[in-house]
Amino acid sequence: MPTEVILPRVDMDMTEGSITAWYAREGDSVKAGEPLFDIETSKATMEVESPASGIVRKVSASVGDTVPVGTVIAWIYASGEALAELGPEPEPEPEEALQAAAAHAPELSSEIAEPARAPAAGERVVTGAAELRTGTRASPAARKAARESRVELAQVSGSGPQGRIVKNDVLSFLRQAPAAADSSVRLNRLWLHEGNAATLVLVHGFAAESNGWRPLVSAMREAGVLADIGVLAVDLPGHGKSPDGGALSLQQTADAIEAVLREEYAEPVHLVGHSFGGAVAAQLARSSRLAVRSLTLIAPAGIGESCNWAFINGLTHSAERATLRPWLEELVEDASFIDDAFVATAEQQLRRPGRRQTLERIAVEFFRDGRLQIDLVPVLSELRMPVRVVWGLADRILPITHADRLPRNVAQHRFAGVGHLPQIEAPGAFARVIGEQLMR
Amino acid sequence: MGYVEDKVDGMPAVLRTVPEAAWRDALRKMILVRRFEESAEQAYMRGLIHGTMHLSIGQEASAIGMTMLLSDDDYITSTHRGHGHCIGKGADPKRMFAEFFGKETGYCHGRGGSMHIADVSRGNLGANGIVAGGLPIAVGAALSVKKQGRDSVVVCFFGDGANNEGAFHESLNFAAIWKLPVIFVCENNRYGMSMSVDRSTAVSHVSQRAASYDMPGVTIDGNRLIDVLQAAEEAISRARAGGGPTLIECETYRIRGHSKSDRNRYRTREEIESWGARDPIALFEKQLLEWGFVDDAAVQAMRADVEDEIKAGLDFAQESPAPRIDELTRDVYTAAAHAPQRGTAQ
Amino acid sequence: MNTATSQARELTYAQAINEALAIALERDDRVFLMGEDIGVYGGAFQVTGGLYERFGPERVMDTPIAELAGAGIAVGAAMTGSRPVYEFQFSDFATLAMEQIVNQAAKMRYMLGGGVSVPVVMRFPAGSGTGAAAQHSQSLEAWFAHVPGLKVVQPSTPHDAKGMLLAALDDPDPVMIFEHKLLYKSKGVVPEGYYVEPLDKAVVRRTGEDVTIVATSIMSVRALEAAETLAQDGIDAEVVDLRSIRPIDRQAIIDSVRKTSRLICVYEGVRQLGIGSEIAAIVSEGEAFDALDAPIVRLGGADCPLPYNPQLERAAVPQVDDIVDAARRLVGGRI
Repeated sequence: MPTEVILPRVDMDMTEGSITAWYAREGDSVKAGEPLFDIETSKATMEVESPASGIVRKVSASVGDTVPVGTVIAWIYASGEALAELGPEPEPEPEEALQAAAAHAPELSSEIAEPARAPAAGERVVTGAAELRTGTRASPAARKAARESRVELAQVSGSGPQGRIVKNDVLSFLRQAPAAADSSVRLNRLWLHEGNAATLVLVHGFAAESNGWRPLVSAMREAGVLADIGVLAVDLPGHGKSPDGGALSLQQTADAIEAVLREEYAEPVHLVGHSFGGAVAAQLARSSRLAVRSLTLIAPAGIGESCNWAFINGLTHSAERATLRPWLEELVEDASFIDDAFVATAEQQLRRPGRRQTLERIAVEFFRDGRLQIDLVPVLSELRMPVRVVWGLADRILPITHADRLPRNVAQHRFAGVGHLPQIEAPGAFARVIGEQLMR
Repeated sequence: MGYVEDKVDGMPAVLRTVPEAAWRDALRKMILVRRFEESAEQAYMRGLIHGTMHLSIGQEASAIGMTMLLSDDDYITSTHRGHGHCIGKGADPKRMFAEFFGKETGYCHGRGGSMHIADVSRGNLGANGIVAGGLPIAVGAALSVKKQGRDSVVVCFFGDGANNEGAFHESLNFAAIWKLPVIFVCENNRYGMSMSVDRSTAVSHVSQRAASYDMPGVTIDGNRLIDVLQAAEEAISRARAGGGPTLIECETYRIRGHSKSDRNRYRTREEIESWGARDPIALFEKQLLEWGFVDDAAVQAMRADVEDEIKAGLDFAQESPAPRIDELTRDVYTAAAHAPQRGTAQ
Repeated sequence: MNTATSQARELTYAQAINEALAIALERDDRVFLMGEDIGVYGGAFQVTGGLYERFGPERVMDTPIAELAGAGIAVGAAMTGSRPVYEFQFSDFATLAMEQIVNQAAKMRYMLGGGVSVPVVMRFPAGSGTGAAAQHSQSLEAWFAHVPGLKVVQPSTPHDAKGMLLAALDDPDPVMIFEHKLLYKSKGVVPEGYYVEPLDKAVVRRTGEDVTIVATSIMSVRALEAAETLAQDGIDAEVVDLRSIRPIDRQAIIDSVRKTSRLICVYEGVRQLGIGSEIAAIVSEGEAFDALDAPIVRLGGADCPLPYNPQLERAAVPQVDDIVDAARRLVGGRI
């Protein structure tokens, strides 16, 4: 098969180049590695070598022509080519039709209805480095490998012809150590649902842990919002099964979560955070270089200043179930949600070695004397992805009045009859909100 | 029993060799063919039959005459206008109707339709949708017969249109050089579709072509059953005795158009009517009545019986199940378990 | 494959076919041969030499030049208890018999609702390279592989030529065997006695890891030669000899491509709409799709009638060099 000669990309930002000299003409014999033509970019003039030995044919760009990167400008035929003439670049018609369609979106149907003109026999069609509809040129094997390892093809550089990504390219990419967020704490994570298209990341709140999300995940499944979305819950440092990272700042906590997301190839992500976990999630949304498609916060800490110090204190120091229950009941509007199982789980978490100390430390650091030490409003204002906040009108931990301070880009859902745990008290309604966020 | 030589003076020789019962049976069969064709036509016009149909109304003598001397060990190949041949070779009208209705109980399990009716186990190698398609096949069957040392014959039906196909010429040549027991029967009804035989064929009688292949050829009145039978008997005897092939041209006429979409633009009403006056069934019935082989009552009874048979056939076809869609590709190939065919030497 | 006796000795492809015919004529009274000049002359390619003398004119029947009726006679005989083998003098003459092959042989069983089988075998000397030019050099097997009801095979070795012909004679359905003319003199080990090779299974002639080459007929032989050269470059080619193109051994193709991720189809028929098109479609629509790491390459006949001039004739069909070159480019990531 003949080898194609393309106008190569020689600079980072280069999109086109002009040909300033040819060293061979139609029908000339060339050797691989010898100079074939010169191109001029915005930065410099460069010599381009012949990719193969053989006879130069079908030269389609002359000195002075400017062509897009990737355009086939000639072919090199090995001597004695016995095969049917190769046509032009196999994809021009559908790409041209699609490009036309994209350019005139309102007239979409009429553009596509016109059949693309097929090139006449012998006619050369000079195409641009036309963007494939999927955006990246990759072999099926490469796509499959990327899918299975949750790699975004856009991050992988292709070694194949015209920058095609082949399977090896994906494997090489995976072998590199991922750029890890700075973190020495490896947090516990729990996959609650399998899916390939994106990941819903759930960050629980103060003194809670990842299993608390299960009722919500059930509700989301039932509502049919999960489709091909994975659900990943992460235990905060010192919570659930995560080790205690010591006195971590909000940013360090966010970085620890980011490290988990990279390890799990979770991208792209939709973040959900509850209460203190909301502050962490928001911080993560602002600082992370990962693709964050949406942010959903449940009564996040850091919007208003006041918080229920008595509750935080009481929760941290409750010695036994009997005294713990009334504090837990502060979390919800309808006390019947706080059943024995709920209390038992909370108590079990609190009894873990070092747990109370951790909680105390966090409490002092972030909720000192009932005054939140976090200011989330400027963080939220900067975010570009869709941000929604869900708040129960009857929240006795972080009062609904905080929501009045939310910046304009944040959508608010205020649930009547619900306290600090909308995800437990109204999982169906909350699932619908998530569903809307996932439609990105 | 019941040979007629003592009854009638100066009658055709063949009457001596064919028992009386066979004559009555021939009449009944001709009536059956006629009624079958007319009923099929009715069913078609009522929308019960898919596709098209090629009716042989007016050609009953040729079909029955040529097949009445055959047994299940003999073969026929037929044409798209072959319902008469099939009935002559013993086909059951109810399975034929079922095939026209596309049902699983039809001769071809609904896969063939009118143009491919066959019953290979009883020697009917099938109607064929390709003009002259059956000739080489008939010659091949005759070759098998000869190799197997049997005295069976193959009666190969075709129309005047086929006599200009290459396959006709090649087949007659093969049959002659290898002296095969095949009888080529051209039912010359004067028209291919719209092309008259005068315009299409270089010779005035198809039977003249026999000379090119050094075989006996004869033209007969295809509407007189006795004449057909006489020619058939001669050719069959010759073949069975190892004397090789014969070409018989039956001059006849089709009362209906070529197929259901034929608008009859190529022939005149007068022509159609004049041939109608030579209806083969009427002619033969008259003859049998003259000879005293039947009386009016017997004919009435015959007709009534045929009506019953037709009706039963139509009912059977209507009530039969359609083929299953998931059996679409059944019988494209032969599954390993299938029994060997009839006539194997082993 | 079963062997009656397993003495290893070499026969030419033509001799292997001759031996199969002799065995068949011997063991089955129903079998007979038909064809032009197959009697005393021994056949245009000397495949039937000696059979007339041994079995006589009733079993080895010379025919006039009349392929249409010849094929139809074979069909009619097969429907009525015989097992004919019809030798066409050149595969190009199948065109004269199209009606009986496509409308009759292929469809008889189905049209008649399963009431009959047509156990006819037709043999076709095919392909180019003998200077016979446009009307005597074609590879038309893909046409027939397109017709349900037929079986179409292309043995590439003497061993398979004999075994597949014997299998064809046991097969109840019409089998068309395309024999490449340039293979008639090729030699190979052929077991004695009766044995069969399946009519629906491909054979991996050479295992490899880097690229799959699926080939038919003489291209199998050329692919193996190419594989030797490629091995010196460190390219490990797997060669799959398809052997039958109706039915096609889809699984063999898929299994191989899943292993190597790269596919070259090599066939002599015209490239467009030839068997390579089907092979490529099988891979792209099946379980092997996700394994593909590069586009599928098809090497087939040029888009012109076969020319007379020997250099042009060579250039019109894939040669060993073309296969080597394509594999180098494909494995080298340049396609």
